[in-house]
Amino acid sequence: MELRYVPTVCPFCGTGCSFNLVVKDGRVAGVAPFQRSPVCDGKTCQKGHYAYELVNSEARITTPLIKKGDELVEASWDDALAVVADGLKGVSGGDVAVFASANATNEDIYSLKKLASDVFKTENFTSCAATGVDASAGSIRDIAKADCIVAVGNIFESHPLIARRIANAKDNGAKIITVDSINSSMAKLADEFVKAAPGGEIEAVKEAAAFVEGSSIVVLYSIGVTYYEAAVAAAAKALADEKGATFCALPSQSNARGALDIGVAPAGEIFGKEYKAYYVMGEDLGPIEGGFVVVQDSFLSGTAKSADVVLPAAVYAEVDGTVTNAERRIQLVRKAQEPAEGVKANWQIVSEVAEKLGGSIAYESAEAIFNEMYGDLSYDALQKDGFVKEAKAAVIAECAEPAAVSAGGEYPFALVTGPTVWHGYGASGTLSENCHSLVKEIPAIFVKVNPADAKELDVKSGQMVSVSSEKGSISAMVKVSKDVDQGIIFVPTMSLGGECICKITGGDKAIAAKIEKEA
Amino acid sequence: MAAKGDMLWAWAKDSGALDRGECGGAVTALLKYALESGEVDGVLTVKKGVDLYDAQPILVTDPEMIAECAGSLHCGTLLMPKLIKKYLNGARDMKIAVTMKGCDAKAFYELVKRQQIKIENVLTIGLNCGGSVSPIDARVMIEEKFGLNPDDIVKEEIDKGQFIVITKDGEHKGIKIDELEEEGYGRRANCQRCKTKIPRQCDLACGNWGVIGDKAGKATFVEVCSDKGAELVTKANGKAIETTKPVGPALDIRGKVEGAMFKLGDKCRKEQFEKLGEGRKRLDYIMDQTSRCIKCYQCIENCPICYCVECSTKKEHLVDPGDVTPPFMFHLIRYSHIADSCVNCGQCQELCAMDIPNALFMHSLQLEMQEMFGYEPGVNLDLPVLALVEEPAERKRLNDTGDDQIFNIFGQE
Repeated sequence: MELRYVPTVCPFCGTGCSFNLVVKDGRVAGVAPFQRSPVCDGKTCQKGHYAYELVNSEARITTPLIKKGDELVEASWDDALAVVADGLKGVSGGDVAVFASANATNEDIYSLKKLASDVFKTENFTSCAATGVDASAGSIRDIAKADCIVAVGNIFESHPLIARRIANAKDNGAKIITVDSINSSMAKLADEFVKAAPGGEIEAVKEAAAFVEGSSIVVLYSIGVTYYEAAVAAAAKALADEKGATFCALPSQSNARGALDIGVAPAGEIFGKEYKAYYVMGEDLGPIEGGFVVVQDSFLSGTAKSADVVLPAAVYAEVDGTVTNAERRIQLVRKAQEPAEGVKANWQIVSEVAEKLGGSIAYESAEAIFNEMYGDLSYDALQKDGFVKEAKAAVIAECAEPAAVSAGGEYPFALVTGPTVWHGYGASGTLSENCHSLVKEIPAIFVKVNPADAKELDVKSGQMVSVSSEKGSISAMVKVSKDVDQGIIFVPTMSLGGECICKITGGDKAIAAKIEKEA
Repeated sequence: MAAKGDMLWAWAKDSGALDRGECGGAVTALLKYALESGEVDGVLTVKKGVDLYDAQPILVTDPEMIAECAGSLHCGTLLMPKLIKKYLNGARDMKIAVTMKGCDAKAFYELVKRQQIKIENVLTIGLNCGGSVSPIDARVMIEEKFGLNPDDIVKEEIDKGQFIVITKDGEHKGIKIDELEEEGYGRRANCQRCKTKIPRQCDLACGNWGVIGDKAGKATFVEVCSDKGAELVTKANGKAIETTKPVGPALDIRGKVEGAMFKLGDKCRKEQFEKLGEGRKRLDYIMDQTSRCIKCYQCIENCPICYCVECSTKKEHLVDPGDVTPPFMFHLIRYSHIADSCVNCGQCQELCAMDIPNALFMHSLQLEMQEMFGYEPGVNLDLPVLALVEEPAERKRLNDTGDDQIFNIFGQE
């Protein structure tokens, strides 16, 4: 009988909390606190607590899959790699796009970037993390020492263990100013709550300036996954600059910071275009139609279902590697169990694909990749507290400003979006969808409706309804809640069971929408 | 022949354990002996993780590995009995020796009462504990208060009312715990309130309080608390350990140390509970703090009293699933289900994502209930106020009869 602890970093958001995986007889059997974590002191949110459930989930894919007709059928690695080589032969440059999950390790993302540049000869290498927002000043712990904090977005649900530090600061006497579009937990903690009109976050951030006072000010912006992240972040940065505040934009994915450091092309320039071939590592972009699609993933994501070839990848608990958190801390992800039979680490898959295509991206280990990336660092040096990189000046890309939502007529509600603590979006959604304790709490995308609106619509909590905008429609579960004002509805930025917020918002932060009872 | 009630000074015969273990290495030697002789199949104990601030539990089945777990670490709070329940099938199919601090020992008894651990299969080696310090807080304290680099520390200990660190260059520095805690450093808040310093509910209670003279630092004070403990000491004596009767004023000194700890515990209780306020003020404070809850479930998952298969906080008619912030009912369920048996292990606060002082609330309730009903949790196998029921059978009875009273709190038949 073997029972031991292996500390590792949570695969969900950009906070970079750690926990111990409890390994029993060579298999991950549970989770235990890692109080030595310099980020979270052993505390985690529910996603961190239940992240172990996905490790040995029944839904894991452990065999390569090849598309035959309309179906994906099991294949050997040799056969699958031969199909990959066939499909990608001669496709290069602008004809191919490569997508990296920002929940993958630095080593995985780095090797994939090499595949893009060295083998595919393409600059089309991106990630959902490439929102044009790159700002990471300050440290998470020091947030508690601020005397004034401006929180833009519902950090309670996007980055709970950072919200903890905001609550600590409040207990130390700090003034908390929240900008959000609903009466969120973050709003409830605030001394001053500036409610943003749907699509009006930028104006709200400007309004918040009037309340800012203090000598140690922190402005925090929780990055979402819309086309307007950079526009709102720019307003938050302007506020920080004006007040001499520390400005940190909190990435939504566990290694978004790392992806930005490695270098990813602006997502807006790559997404939404057609290519002859798509190479996707661990990201769920929804089904891709047309073109030759190769997916590396641990689960059969929406994108994987539409792929020509799916290569089964190890999960976070099965690999060594590093991820970089919101405060630029590079931390070790440690292997707790051997990869499930038949699956390989993402960087190994990249290496084998490269070899098939006549390239060479061969490494002995994840550590060898890291050593190539950071010559002056080593895994050994990361064992205790990781390594905190020096802060760079914030860079926010030019970005169109979101338009105010004009609800009315066919679409009487202003639909606003924001994080839910239970699930994520894209790759993060794939992960939470496979943690049954999280699914038990939130088994479907939900829509928050004000009690008066619910009465008028004659809908009750738990009831499934159709939520539509002019861009599309999803099926969602009603949650009657005073968190939203009358006329406003809230749908979290999440994907679950094939349904995705993106179907109705198409990348907007807010949009006019309607609710209809399902037949 | 050792017997229940004996007090001994003990030290390891084996020079390895003597060198590496704390105070003569008696605990290390006893654990190794228990494993080697087949008294137990495994030893659940603690070893150094990434550094000395990281206490990591490990199940050892190879006697040679025991040496790696020698020495004490003061930053851990690991709730060992919950691990036995969760990962070792409640010791139903293996015999385990386990090291326990006071909070572990109390949690152990509460789990045993709830039939979650088979006590017959567990040999409990109690370790005196003056309190533990959270690892990151310890590092900050060493840097800010001691003016030392926390990475240079090779040993930390709590002795004679001081928190003492030793650097790699051999420098000793100690600061009074009172002084540290007045400035917000020091031990975990629940440790400050703790009065289980010598865990006598274990088979053996081991530590350095009461070892004096030539043997100071070279022997462990072992209090034999059960027949099982006496048997182990008797068998190991002469083979794995050497023992002698304490001499001089050893027992007096031991009593004084414990007494001083109790006094400090009482003082901390008074201060912390006073800040809670009374009546409506206390309720308002609790409601304000719990309004920050994000429903991470850490308090439930790590509580030694929470063991239900079907948790009421997950019943839709009581708490709407998926709501953040969860309703106050979520916390009320916890208070009403746990408070009578709370052992002040502190896990619900230690691991709360939003730093809600859950353990403070629960401990204050527990002490008031103890006054009312006379039930003291964690000290022996007496059943709690809320009498024990078999969960599935009781749920069936409630369903069948329509009764809603699970526990007969008035003691009527």
